[in-house]
Amino acid sequence: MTDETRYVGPDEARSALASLAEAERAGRIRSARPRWFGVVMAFLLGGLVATPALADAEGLVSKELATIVLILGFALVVAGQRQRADAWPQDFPGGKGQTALALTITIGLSLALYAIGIVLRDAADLWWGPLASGVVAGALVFLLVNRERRSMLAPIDRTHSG
Amino acid sequence: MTEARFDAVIHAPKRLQICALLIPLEEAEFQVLRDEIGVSDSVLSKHIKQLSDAGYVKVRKNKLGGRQRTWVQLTGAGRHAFAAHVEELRRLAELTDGRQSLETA
Repeated sequence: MTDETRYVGPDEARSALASLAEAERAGRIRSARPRWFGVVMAFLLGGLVATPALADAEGLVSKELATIVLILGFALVVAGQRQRADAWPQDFPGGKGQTALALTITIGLSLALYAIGIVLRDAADLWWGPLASGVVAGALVFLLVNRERRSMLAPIDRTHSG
Repeated sequence: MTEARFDAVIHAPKRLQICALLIPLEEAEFQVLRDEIGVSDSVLSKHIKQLSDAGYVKVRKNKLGGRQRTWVQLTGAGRHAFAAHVEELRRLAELTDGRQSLETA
């Protein structure tokens, strides 16, 4: 604590709020994930959802191998990005409850799309069903990651509550 | 709603900037803070030490490729104190004259 006794008036408070809004924005910009992150995550999740399309493929790529590679890819991309970043955004920016809800919806939707792809392939005999599901899942992830990126880069107004 | 409370440890301009920069982050490397705040290593270390002594930040060190990296993160107490301080600044900013301004000791 400081020993000095002084007054903090409205002007100083306003100037402090402006200065902290600027610093907060700088922190957000430094930690915003790069554009390629959304593309890679979309490709990996879309690929995972689309793997049933490989079920009947023989030879070069099996469904199991593709699944393992894509899951490893997820882990590597997230770990690699975390290693090279010099600032990391909050894991639970909206609170743990909100993050858990977002994760549940994303995982639930991915599983639903995975199931729809299989149904389209087996019941409707549409071989491209899983691929279409994969594209939808990939697009959703891309939109989510980009939405987070945009919110990180948005201007901040600290002068009002909420 | 966070209760408004002035915090003299946080209010110092550079420490206020450090806390604000760390608010949206899980953690940030020392050099990010130094570059964004625009101070020398020693000055930043001093401010971080004061915040750390107050229990507002936590410092973590690790080595990557032979290079020592120092990471700084706001603690729960730090986030709470910062939010309360911002509320108090908002309250003060809304005052139209100096009569009700805060006397810090």
